[in-house]
Amino acid sequence: MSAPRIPEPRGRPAAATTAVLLALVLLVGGAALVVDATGSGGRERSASVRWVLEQLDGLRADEATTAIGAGVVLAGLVLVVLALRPRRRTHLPAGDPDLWLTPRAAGVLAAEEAEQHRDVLSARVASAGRRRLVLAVVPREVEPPPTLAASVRDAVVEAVPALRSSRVLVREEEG
Amino acid sequence: MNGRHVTDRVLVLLAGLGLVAGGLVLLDWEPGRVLDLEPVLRTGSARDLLDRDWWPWAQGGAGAVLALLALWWLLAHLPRRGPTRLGLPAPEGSDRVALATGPLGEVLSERVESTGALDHAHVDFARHRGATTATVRARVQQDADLVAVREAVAEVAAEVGAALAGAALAVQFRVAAPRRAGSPRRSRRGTVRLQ
Repeated sequence: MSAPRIPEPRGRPAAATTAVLLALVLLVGGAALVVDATGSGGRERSASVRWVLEQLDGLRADEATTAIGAGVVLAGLVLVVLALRPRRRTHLPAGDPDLWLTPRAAGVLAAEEAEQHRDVLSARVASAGRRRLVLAVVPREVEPPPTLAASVRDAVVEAVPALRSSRVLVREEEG
Repeated sequence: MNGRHVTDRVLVLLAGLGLVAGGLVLLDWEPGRVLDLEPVLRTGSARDLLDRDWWPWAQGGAGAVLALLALWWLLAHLPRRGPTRLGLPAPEGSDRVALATGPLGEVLSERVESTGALDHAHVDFARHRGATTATVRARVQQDADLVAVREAVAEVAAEVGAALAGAALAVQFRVAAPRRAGSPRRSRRGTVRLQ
């Protein structure tokens, strides 16, 4: 029997956090309905529901209800977007055997490779994301060759293939 | 995507569509372009329902069902334990053979850390499409390069494949950056070997 390939690593769906919040709201609401129905604390049964209905009685359609409607539609659309939003990719593929790197790990390995470049004294990750990596390098010479950034970038992408789908920027800084 | 995530998405989508529908009704209330509702809300008939004997029971029952559903939904988000045993093909004439995943995960973590390219290793077992999967999470050692990381991972994967042949264990390696300076290190470099 061969093992199935494990799916690509991804973050939690945005809907998961929203779902927990919705569940909490439902839990509190359900419990409040039960407590209200039992009439605990010497109150009349269903007193809260009655009070809400009394407050709503006589409510007129006006600008305020229209504004509230717009807000509710907006909130609903936010929930729809959260429900349909795909899960965030958290890693970059680094080849077999099923190896994945976080963008920062790919950046650290790229900085390690950049330091092997003959014109680079040191390198560090300035920022790392799935789509964009910024490396800050300290040139070995006071006046580095004008092609330093391009040649470091080429060397880094060649050495760390996981970065081929990312935009790699090399920034020179003083030591 | 697992079943819990599908349920989350469906329920959040339904809640969202419900809010959109309710909001559209409110938006249309004053101009009355589509629904032509009464301009004043009257809740008298609804309040009459509250005076019926069965109402508190219906309200309490509905509340209890809502609360129980919400509780089930919340509990479904608690982290699940992965499989505790990994079945191996049994030699002829013997009973089933299984490895406890806890100690296996520890040995695997130590083996990953002993490569010198990775540290802070941790293994999680799960089930995916009927098979057991192992996700190895580790950090790059300071000064390690990609060649060393790939060699380490390939070495460990080959050893797992040889040692657990027939177990149909899928292994995935997820590698993060080294801890920032000042973070405690927990390296257990040794001479562990999976055989």
